[in-house]
Amino acid sequence: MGRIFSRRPLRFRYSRTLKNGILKSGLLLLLMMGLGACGEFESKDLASEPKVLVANEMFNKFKKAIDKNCNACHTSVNSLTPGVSDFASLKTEDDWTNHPLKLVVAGDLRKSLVYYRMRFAKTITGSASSNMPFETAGAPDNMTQQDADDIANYIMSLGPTTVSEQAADLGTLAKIKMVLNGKAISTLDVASTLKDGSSILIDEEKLKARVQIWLQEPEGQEKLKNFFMLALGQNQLEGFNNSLFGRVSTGNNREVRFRENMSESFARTALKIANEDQPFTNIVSSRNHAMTSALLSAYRFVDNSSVQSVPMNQNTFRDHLRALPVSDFTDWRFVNLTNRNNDNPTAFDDMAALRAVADNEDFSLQIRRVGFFSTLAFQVKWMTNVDNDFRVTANQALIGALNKTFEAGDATAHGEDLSALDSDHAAPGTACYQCHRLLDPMRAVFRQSMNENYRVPASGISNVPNAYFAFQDYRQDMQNVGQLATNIKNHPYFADSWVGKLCQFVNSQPCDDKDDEFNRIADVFRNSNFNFMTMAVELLTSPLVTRERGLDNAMISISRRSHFCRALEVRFAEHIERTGSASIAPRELCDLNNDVRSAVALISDDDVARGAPGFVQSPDTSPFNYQSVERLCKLIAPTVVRADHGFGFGNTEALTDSLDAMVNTFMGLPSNHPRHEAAERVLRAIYDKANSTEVGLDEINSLRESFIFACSSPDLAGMGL
Amino acid sequence: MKNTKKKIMKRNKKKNQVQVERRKFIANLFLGAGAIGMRSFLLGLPPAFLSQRAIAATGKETFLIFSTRQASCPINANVPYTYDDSIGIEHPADFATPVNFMLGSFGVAAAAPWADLAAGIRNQMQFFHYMSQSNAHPESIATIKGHGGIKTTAGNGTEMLPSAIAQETAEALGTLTSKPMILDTPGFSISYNSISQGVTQPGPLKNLFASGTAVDEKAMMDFRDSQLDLLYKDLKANGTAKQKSFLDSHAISKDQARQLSGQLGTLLEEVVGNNANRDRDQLITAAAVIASKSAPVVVVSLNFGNDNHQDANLNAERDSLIARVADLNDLYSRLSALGIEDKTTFALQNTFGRTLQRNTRGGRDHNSEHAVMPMFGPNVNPGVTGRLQPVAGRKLGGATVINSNDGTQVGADIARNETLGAACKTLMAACGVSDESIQKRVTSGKVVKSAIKPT
Repeated sequence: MGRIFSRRPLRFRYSRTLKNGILKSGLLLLLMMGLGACGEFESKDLASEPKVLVANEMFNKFKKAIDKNCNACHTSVNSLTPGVSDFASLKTEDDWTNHPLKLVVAGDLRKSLVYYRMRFAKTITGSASSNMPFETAGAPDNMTQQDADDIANYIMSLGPTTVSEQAADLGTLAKIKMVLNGKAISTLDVASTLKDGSSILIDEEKLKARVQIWLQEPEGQEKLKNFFMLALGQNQLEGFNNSLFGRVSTGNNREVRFRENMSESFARTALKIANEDQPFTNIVSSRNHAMTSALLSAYRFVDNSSVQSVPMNQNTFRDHLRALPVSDFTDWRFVNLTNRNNDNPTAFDDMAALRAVADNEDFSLQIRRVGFFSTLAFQVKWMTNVDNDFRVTANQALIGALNKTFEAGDATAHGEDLSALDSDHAAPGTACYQCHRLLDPMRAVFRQSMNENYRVPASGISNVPNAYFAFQDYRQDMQNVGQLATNIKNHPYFADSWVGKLCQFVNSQPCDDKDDEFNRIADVFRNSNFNFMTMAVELLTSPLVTRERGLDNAMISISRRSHFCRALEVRFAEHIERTGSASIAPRELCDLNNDVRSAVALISDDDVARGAPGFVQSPDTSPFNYQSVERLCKLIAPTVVRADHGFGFGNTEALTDSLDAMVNTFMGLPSNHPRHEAAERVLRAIYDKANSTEVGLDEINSLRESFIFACSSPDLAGMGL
Repeated sequence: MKNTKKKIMKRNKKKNQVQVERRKFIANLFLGAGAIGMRSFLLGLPPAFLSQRAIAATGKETFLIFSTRQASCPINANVPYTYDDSIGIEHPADFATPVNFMLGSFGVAAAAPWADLAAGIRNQMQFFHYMSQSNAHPESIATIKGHGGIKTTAGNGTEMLPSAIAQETAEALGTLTSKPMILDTPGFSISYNSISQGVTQPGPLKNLFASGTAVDEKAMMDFRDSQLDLLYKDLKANGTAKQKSFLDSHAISKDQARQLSGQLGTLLEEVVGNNANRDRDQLITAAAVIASKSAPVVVVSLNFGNDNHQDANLNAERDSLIARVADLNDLYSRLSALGIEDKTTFALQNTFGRTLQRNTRGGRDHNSEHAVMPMFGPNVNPGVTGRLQPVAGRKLGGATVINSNDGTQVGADIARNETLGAACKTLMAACGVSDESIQKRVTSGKVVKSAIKPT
């Protein structure tokens, strides 16, 4: 089943295209007939010129209302909101209805940006962003309800529109499982989710049970942990020289483990919160953090007021790390971070004392550490300095929890006390001022317990300006980091944020947060007391994911690096377990050696970018991605495909089993999948070719050729074919 | 035995010929006049846009090496016209005295390293002063989209500057793709048609194409390719639109990879692949990408002193400028050796410039009022566009208004807040984009005529 095309406003469009030329309208007519979308089209409309006039009048009124109320800001590069600025350049109906920011969505006021952002939006209540227009320097707010109604009338005159949807099929099943735990779909997965009477389409209700299982499997838990690392901005810490630790390089095993420890720490905490059915809002306020002895040592190292800044080239902490046994990086437990008011004599290198800190024991620190935004990983990733003065910290904290950043269009009233406002940005009416009046008072809470190197200030705290929380229509007093956490927890965007984050993670592009289904799932999340697992199951089996409802560009993404590597590893482990072949340790196939690491480096991965909500995801394939995947598969083939790893070849049966395993376990095409048999035939043909006198490879190397094909095939190199 | 070997070799030769034919076929798809649909698919551009391009092509299109950096380096502090005493601009001690040199026949004074640029560069080099209107790192995306002023191929929405230029020049340049190739992370994600593009680091890229392919490996590779087509034949015919699209992209990427593996390997030999050579590696790779016609635009991220708030003595600013000028000279000699210097434009635009006076720690802060775009290329007229003016009460220094005819501030018709748009438009013109397309793609500012060689 293909994409269902949006039905356009046929009468008006048809009439308008007549003006544009017979050929164009003829093609449109053919297209409409071909789509079977002519239900509303009647020949009498050909002559309905008065309706055209009505349509034009409506558009003219719409334009007039926009010109009057919006263009003072949304015109030219002086706009306060760069990116949606130039309303004056949008002259035709197509300009408005085709705009990628969904300024006008035919027949849908909830999704039309120009309408739902307005204070006068009638049918939309409780939205935190319904605040347009607002008065700025030289631009008074004269909007009337009639202006808003004129905008609404035009939008409604264009509808109704059908939301685009894809089919929920076996590709959907493969995509969800790939993202959720990396394993291949099994015969049972297929059999238990297929719609009655279909060999391709799946039933979303039946899918729920599978999703619940996939989430709880160890592989699912690992992927969730990786998702939290990414979503909370704790991921991909590279080697660094900074004023927190001095030099921590890239290659050394202990330093690599240390960086991994930092990244994993709060992701483990978030996973615990999700698994224990705690309100997921606890990620913002939790002081119960997963720690290793090496991490405890690191927290002690920075919690020392006698060192304000570590010289960038200092090796003290690096040398300390290098001397630690591996066990100090693997002894995970949860520790309660508590406050103390003075330097504790326990030194960072008193490892005996640190190792003795038990599960759920208190661990006191001078720096107040609350939630995901005060972890070392977060601070290393989002370093601040005297000039930035914790702005990046505050902004990334909001992005991490609420998936929103400061924007000039946020008309939320700021606090009365603006003493925290930087004088360079203090001119009211400027774009700088619009954001800084909200941002600067918020970041003040960080100054109370840290210096700009995220270390303990030397001589206590003084001259800290008053803080205030005002963001996207939510305002509260606050005095410390703990209250910042409370305000973020209570912010109305929290639920939407996590539905959006998980949805983008799975679909490889942002989901439509104005879709009714999106709002329904956000409500489910809220009403379940922010139970993450409940929300996840609801979302992953909803049309937003299974049918990619409302996506601008529904597409199959390449398997990005973490997904691809994890899939290879868990599928290899699954194969080993299934064949009971060898007692090998699970291998990190993408980290085998330098050649492998080099090949993997060109497969793009998910990340977050500074100041930008959502994820950076590159779903597109490219020759470099293709070549990297193929080279990776070639390089790991000798490690994976070995006789003692359950890949036999001495006789027909053994060979069939080997090829079957590649098709089932690696390509993810179980025996009841429509492409299973064809894939097995192709893998056999490749084996035969390689093993022929023409090419002359021996049996095991011939099997490896089949593996290279399976490993680099679109079924594994893409998510959801 | 000998005969069998001969037979195998003959068969392999035939097979290779088939592959070559196939590549020719792919290549011809780009060239055929009546194949807009297929070219549209291969290049990733809408058919309607391509048919317009056929009319709009100027014959002056060039490749572009575009450098951008969210950290935003102090490159604007030592270029021509920054030695104006009335503004009180501060420089690294070693550059306190400007050096006089020529940009073509245009005499300028600037920090000494700029005078060391190869004559070939100086004879086609412009320094374009403008204001980016951005003051914070997260504004990088807004800036590279001209604050909403750079439009999509359809003339609406927004696009990033390097992607817009790539879309306009790809077809005329005959590149494998119309997407820019990103060689380093500039601190934010470069998107094309709103889809983030992955980063292709030079070191791993070199390794990827360095090993070559043995004959027996090649035979198997070719056979695997044929089996791939076989396995997904039905799905390509009867699958959903997104399945077909993915399989087509996969197949095209595979063919492009095969094609590149024969070309990129030797061109990347000098890539070192470590941090110390990061900038040079990017430029070596950029030259290779252009020589192999892989992409119309290559995005690099050159370090001209970085986010230097705390550069107490401006030593990092000084050292980086010296090193990058050497790298640009190296780039130019590579382009010349490859015979593509007359088809390549270089330009740099960061998120913002830096204050022209120093902060209390000796370094420079963010400056939304002044930035500079150095650019050189075959269509660039040497000289300087825009000038500097003081900003009352602040240690910034700002760009002036611009006269679009002669590039000075006298008789200006480009307002200060349109100078970013003007820089984008002028760069598009330098890359050979037609005036008609420029007007459609960029909504503010004007092309500065004096910066572009007359036709």
